[in-house]
Amino acid sequence: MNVDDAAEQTLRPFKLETIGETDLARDFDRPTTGIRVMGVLLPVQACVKDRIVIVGSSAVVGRDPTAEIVLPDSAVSKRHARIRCDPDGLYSIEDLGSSNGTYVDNVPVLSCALHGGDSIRIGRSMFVFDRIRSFEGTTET
Amino acid sequence: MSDGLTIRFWGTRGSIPTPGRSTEKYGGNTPCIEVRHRDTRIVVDAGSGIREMSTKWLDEEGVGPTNVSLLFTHLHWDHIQGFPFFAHGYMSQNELVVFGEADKPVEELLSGQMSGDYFPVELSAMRAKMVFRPIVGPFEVGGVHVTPFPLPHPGGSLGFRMQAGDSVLVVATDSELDLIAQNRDEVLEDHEASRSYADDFLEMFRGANLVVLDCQYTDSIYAQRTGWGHNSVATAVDLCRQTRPDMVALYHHDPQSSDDTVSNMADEVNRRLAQTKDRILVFAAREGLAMRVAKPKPPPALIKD
Ligand SMILES: [Zn+2]
Ligand SMILES: [Zn+2]
Repeated sequence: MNVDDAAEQTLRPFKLETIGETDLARDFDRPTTGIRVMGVLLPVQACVKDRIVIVGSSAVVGRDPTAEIVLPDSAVSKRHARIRCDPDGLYSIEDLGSSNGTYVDNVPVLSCALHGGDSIRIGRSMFVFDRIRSFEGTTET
Repeated sequence: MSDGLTIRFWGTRGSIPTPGRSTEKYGGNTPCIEVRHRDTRIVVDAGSGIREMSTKWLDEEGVGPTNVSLLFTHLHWDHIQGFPFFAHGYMSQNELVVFGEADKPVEELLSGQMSGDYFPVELSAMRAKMVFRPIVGPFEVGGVHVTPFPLPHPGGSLGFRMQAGDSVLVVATDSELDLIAQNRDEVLEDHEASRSYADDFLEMFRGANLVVLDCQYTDSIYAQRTGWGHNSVATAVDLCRQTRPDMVALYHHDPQSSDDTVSNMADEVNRRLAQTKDRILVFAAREGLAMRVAKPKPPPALIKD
């Protein structure tokens, strides 16, 4: 038996939501819907001036106009790197075989998990990665 | 280019897993390093980081037959505790060659932590074909030459110099190198003094593209932890100056060290190396970092505003 399966079977008999009189799911409801975490690239010294918000679960960074994040810089490969957001909301960057490399905190990476405050160098630009929260739709009062 | 080695860090923390918000960046999992060369997979140590490694392999590659060589630097708990969670070990289609110190009962110690009261599943439930190989000298794994060498650490520990083509990786975790400095008395007086080591020891590090080095302590913490088996910043700086690898990844972070502390330690090593104009790229190893083991190319100059 797989170890995780074993642990799962041991834990399953307890159903936390229905302990005693308290419906934890109801009593501790909190407004999580509509909050979205998004990655942003803040230009430090870069060929673009505005901050770049990374929308969706995958964005290619490159010189090619079809890239989700276009960097007009001859030192950037057409498809240079890819930034991903996994279902848990964790961001990572992967070099796509670029000519000049992708650097996180000065280290040339094949791929790297991203953390708020990391510096990213692509071509002749440097960005700082961060995460922001935004609300989608309307807020009820 | 792709014919050399690549490395990926799955666990960089020493001693005990250290989850939490203050360790998010460098990670809280205990030592586990994946090394690849063509189809060859080498894993150095089975700390808690190995669990995510096997999850990732299954996600990306499915359950097809997988051959893995697992190299143990030593059998301290932080280096074996993830082994029972290595999913690939439970699948009969896989083959696992386990290399460990020749003077230790490796199989017994691994099964010990899975026996009876410690763990619900015995080692015998791991159905992968498992072969145990004592390390008695240099060996080869799928085109990677591995040279083991002893490191000063309570109970002993092994360093590995791995080479494929021009690509050279040295993993030298758990070690307190000051203990084998021939001028140890002088080093005790002046912690920043140059250590004098045996030449065959230094030879293990020379010409390396990347050295993964135990640097658990700041110099001030080390003063209170002498004899605990781990290096300090000054020891790392000195080894860099004497052997001049292209890159050094500081490793086996102290459970007490926050991300800020670890970042500051890497900055401090770089600051001291800059004083002597030693151009070595030193950084702190972080979970989820994968890189090529090759001489790094500096990035293009930044655009002028
Ligand atoms: Zn250790
Ligand atoms: Zn140890």
